[in-house]
Amino acid sequence: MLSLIRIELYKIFRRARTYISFAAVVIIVWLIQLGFYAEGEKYMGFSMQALSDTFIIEGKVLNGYLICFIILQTLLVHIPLLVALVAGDMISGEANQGTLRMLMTRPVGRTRLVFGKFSAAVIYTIALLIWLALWSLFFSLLIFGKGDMLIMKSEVITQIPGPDILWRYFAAFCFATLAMLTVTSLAFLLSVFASNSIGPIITTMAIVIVCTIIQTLDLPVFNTIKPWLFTTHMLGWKGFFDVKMNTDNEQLAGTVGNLPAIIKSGTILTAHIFLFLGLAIYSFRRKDILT
Amino acid sequence: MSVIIEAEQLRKKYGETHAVDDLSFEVKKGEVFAFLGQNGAGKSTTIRILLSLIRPDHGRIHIFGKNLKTERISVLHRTGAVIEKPDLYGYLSGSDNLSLFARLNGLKLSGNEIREQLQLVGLAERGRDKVKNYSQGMKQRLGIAVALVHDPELVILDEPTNGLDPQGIVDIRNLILHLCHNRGKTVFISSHMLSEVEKLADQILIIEKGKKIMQGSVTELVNPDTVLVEIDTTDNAACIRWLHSAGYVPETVSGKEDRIRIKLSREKISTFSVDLVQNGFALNSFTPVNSLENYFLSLVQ
Repeated sequence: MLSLIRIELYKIFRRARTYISFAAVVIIVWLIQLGFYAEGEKYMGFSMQALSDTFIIEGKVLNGYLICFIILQTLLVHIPLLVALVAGDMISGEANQGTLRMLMTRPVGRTRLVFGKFSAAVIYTIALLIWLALWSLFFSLLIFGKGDMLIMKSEVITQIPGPDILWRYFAAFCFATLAMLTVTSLAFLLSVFASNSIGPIITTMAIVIVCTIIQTLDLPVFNTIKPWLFTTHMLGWKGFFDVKMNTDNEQLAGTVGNLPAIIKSGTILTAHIFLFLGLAIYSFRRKDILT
Repeated sequence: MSVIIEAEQLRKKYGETHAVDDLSFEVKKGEVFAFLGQNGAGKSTTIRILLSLIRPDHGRIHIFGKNLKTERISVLHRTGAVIEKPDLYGYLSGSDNLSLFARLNGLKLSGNEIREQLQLVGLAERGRDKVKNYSQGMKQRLGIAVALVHDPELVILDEPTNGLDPQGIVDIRNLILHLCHNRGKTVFISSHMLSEVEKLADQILIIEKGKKIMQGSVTELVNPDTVLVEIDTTDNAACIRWLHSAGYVPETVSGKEDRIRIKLSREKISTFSVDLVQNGFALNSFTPVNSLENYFLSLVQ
């Protein structure tokens, strides 16, 4: 199995298109960082105008932690496309090139091949998320420095002390990886049925968009399915930036506001991954290799 | 001679079309088995079934005495194949492709071993080039090298001479004969090039609309004592009249009115040409028509 995964990774990382995703992440992160570096103070002053009238805000609000949070909010909507670019190509791309039949004349079990290819797609997704973390967190901290993090929600402002932030990012990136792996497994499943890679990539994005729209529509007909849509849980990483309060309304360092909700979201995403992978194996084992 | 492939009552339907219909055959160890048929006759479907790329609706296949359905992996360990055009990874070099496919067979090839394999198909000089820059013929050669990289006992080649130049065709023919005669391999080959098949094959199976219509050795199928020749003389009309009067049965070729076809026994060929000249017909051309081709066309037309 390890040898198969190595072969699949070799194929992924020998293709120039694989690096488009990594380059896209760098460019977008740089643009956001550059924008905030040039005009961040003005932007922050404008958005915190209302708060300044009520509160005395001291210290460096525009710091690396906040920039990373903004980048994640912006980018995690687009990352599914970058993930689908590779995962949606894993089997359909081989079918399109005609290499699938060459591959299947080798003594490799179909289930093993699916596992090998899926594992490679998982490693690619994890690598992309680590890359994103490196650029968005590490370089933001390097450029903008550390500080407490102010997160504004509709009616609540959360201030997380600097020393209590880093582990939250680690957990958030882990959760975001799980969310992206759901997209990976969906694109991978779709790639089993197609003989060109455009179909699975577009279909994956279409499913993500449709599910997101359903999630935002407050109609009773959709309310029963919303809790089971994977897109509902993809932004669960934000939960790690909710801090638990004690009875005196003081923050409890090292805690999260609603851990059971995060666990539930994680479980639903994991269930989706297993479901999509299971369907991919089932379908591929029965597939006639015609191309 | 032990049986390497044993296929029984294979059937495969696509919608209402029978791609393979009740097809049974046997391939014996060490022989070159040619699989012939027109486009859409079911050759590629049968080959895909033999490699378990597609599942037959009905039938049973044993290769090396093992049930393909239950022992696919162990069968494929001993089998090498090229199906239709060998599509390889264009963004990798020839050597990388060879190494990658060898790894799928559990082999880690050294640089020298890769060079040897490429040398076998005449690609040693281009091993480092990316496959996307290869010609169709070079891809075909590399595909054959990939099929042979794990030294399989059974080699299945679907149209192996597609896209090859004349020298390439001769090289591949010699390679197949070498594999069969010197290295004891069994070769299952499908081809449209009947003249090549005639030079290579021990056994021939002809299918039409998925059904077997004939199987036998080349000598059984094609009478070696008779040769069909195609001639063109200075006056074909007069020549046809003379041939009739001399007791021959000449035919004109549809679409080639300047050609006359005539069946001759082998020993009569030399006297026939002398007779023609002595009766005042100078020969523009005298071509023996490939007899397997002739036989094949008589079956499928």
